Amino acid sequence: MISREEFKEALETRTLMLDGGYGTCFFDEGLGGVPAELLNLEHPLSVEKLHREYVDAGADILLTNTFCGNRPKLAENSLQDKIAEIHREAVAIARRAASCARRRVLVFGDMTSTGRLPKPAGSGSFHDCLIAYREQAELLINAGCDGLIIETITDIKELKAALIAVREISVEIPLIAQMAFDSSGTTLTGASVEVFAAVAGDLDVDVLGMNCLVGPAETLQNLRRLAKATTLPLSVEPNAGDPRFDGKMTVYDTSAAEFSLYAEEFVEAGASIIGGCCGTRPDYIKALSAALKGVVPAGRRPRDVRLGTRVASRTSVFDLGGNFCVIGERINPTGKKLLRSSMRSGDWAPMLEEVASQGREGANALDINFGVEKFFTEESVSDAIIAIEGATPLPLSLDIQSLDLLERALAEYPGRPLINSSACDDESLAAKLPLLKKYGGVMVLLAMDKDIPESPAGRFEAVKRALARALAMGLTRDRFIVDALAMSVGAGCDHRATLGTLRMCAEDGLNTVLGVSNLSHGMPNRSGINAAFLSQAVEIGLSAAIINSGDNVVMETLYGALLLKTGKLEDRLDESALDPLVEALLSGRSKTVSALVDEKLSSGMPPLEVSQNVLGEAMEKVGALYESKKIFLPHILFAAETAFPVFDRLRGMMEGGEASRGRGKVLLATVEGDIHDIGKNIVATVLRAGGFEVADAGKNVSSAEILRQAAELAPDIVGLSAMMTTTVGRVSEVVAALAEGGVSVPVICGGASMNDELANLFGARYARDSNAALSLCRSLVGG
Amino acid sequence: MPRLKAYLARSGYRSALKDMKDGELALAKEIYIEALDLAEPLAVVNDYERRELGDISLPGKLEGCASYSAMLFSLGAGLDLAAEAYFGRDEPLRALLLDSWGSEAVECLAENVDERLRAARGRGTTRFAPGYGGFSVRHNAEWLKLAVGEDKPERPVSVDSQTGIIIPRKSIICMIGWDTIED
Repeated sequence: MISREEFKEALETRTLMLDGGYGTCFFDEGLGGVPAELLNLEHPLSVEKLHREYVDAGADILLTNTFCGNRPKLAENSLQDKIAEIHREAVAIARRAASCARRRVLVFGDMTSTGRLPKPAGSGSFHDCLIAYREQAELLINAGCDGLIIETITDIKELKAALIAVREISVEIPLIAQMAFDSSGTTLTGASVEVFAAVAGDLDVDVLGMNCLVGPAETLQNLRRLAKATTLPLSVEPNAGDPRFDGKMTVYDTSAAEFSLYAEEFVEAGASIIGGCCGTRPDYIKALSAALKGVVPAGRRPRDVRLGTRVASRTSVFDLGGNFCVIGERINPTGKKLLRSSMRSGDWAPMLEEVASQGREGANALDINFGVEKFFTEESVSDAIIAIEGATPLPLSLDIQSLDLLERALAEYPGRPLINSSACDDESLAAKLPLLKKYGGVMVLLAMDKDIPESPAGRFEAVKRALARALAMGLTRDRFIVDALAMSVGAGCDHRATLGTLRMCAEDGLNTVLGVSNLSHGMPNRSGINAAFLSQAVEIGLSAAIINSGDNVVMETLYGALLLKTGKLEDRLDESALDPLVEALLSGRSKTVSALVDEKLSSGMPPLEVSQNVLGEAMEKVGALYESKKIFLPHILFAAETAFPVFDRLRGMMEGGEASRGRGKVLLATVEGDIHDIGKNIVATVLRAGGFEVADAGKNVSSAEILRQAAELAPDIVGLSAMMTTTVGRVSEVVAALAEGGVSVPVICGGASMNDELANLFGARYARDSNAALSLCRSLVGG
Repeated sequence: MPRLKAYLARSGYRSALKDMKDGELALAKEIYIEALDLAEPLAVVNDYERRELGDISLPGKLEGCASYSAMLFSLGAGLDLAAEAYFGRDEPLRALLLDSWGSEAVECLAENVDERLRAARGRGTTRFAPGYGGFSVRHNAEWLKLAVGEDKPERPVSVDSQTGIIIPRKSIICMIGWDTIED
């Protein structure tokens, strides 16, 4: 195994070449019908031959043929019992091929998604992902890999599970983390390139990168963004352009020569590792190697990287160094009877109301405090975090004192949270810093040891000692923000000590936060006191404040203070732009949704019309927000889940004929030979939320079975999913089977390997994503 | 294949790739791909003992070697014709890019063969072409004969005896001197 230090040195001296695609090459060899991982056992020479071709082409790193080798993925082909054998053989095969080279060729164990995305993007769990990745990482490392690569990941929470799992198994193994971004630099479940950098960058990886989904031109744009968001070495593996069907399978139109023309641009943008993904073959890697002959790594300039103290949710990043951060304080049941009882009983609706309202009021992040924590379990904390992160794009501040509950929340949260907080004494730091290191995030350091020093100098000294300890553990200053401790003036505490501490921290370049409301505890005119104090703190350089964003006195004063200090107006949310029903759906406030629907029913509007023209319209607006990338997949699914019970209730109120049809009936299936069903399930959810009745025939469904179900159910539309390059042709078979069977029904199709041209060729209509599927279905039924 | 940056530098682009306008870079890449289709790379190497060269002129720096390789590299006529066509259609930038690519690519071809020869034979002299270092470009004609062989009347390139210019233009005639030949 190469050491992490050696690997890092190699990346600094030259650009390393990764290998290219495997699936297409196996297909060329006539092995397309065999699960790729099984080839390690049944056709090891074919796998070794391809590895050798990549070595001859110039690859410095070979990836083992274990891409879908995790247990859940293998189980889809009933291969889970062979998992150990598959990994042992895969590494041995790659090692044999690598040993034929005259230079050093590294073998990296290849890992990807489990196919069961953790909630809220899917129905899986973080813990299940962790178990699957631990097992695969251990198998690969024990079999003798030089390093590991986790690639083609679309969900940041699943990536987090994978990275944590690997580091639980080994802190020595070199580790590359890659996500699949589309042309806008966003993953399927909404993580931007910058979110990826913020979250994965904390998790002890050696290289951050991207692969799949797009060709070299789009990858280059995304790479340039990533280079500005991390100082870690970078890797890229683009597809060979856009997919096209050639009559037998999907092919990619970017030639090896054209592909290789991006090599120098990748290096100039900062890539240290370059390879190819779908559609690339050994000749692509050979052309890349030739194009990079004599090209030295560009060397990244620190000034090009914007690294402030950033907090992030699944979909957005907030830079505390560049903008003042309002942290909403109201997810805290202390003194709030209704919120307390609902949170303790697992009824998250009132909490989500507060989440939504604070977002509307202008909060940039939300403090999450469970009050008396003994009433909560790890499971209920998980549920709460999943509910909140599905309902808001705002980053969270986890104000949780129990270490077990905090660890659970950190595992469950897919962003880079604030961890609120740790005192600077040894005991507190010993408990909290390992969590920060393992799960990532930004720690709020309370400027105190076991006791609170009275003087600013005493508080600042405590912070400096804590930072020194953290830095010795390999953590960096940008992982911390200092709470200068606002304490009740009513209890005789001197607010000037707080301001003095703030000043010392600001002069030392540290970001700061205050729980402002503490200052006025027990006092009359709290808003005025809080606002006056906040104004003074802002002038000194306060970076963030935990406040009541619904307190107009405080908020207006804050905006005024920021205007005077910075000369720029803060962006304010235009509340009038929000449709209340849309907003309630996105926030998961089912009671509000019901109330708004009831209003329409009370006015005499028939249930069918309410279903289609009120709730259906609102879901359509949610879909439009998704399409414009203002919200992302987990949000649309969350809104759909909120809408389902209301749709069901409305359906129950309709006349028989109306109720059975809704907008129309859609029969969905993943075609034969294809076991990918995440996309199909998402489409089913969105169609249901859009008022369609959906019959799901499942995955790996034969043409004959689809025909049988279509004849029996008489759907208005048949929807087909084909993910793999080798299965897209099945769509054509289904269309033909339906025609021959006398079932006249429009067919729509989608999937990673599908496109408009291809769908037309097959006699079907193409839907790029779930929202496009909904629009297409509506147009087909005339709705 | 020539490096993208080297080809662009030869065309006159000196900035970092990221600072080029998207349209410019896209055009440059388009021409690169077109050029790859048009080029018909040819490399011919013929070896001679010193005594076999008789009174053939040698550049000063290559005197005294035991043996010599006479070499011809060419990309064929397609590039010249396409560049002319671009000029004729008032598309001078495309013509310039094609011409620059050809210059860089033929040099790249020569460099490639040069490296392989040295890898097989050890250290030789600098690769030298007529027209440089006071060695007249008119010597192209006689070294062309040496490169392709006196007995081959049909030559893939021609040299104007008066000017020494080689047609097709993206061609190089050159030589390397070797102390010893290790076959």
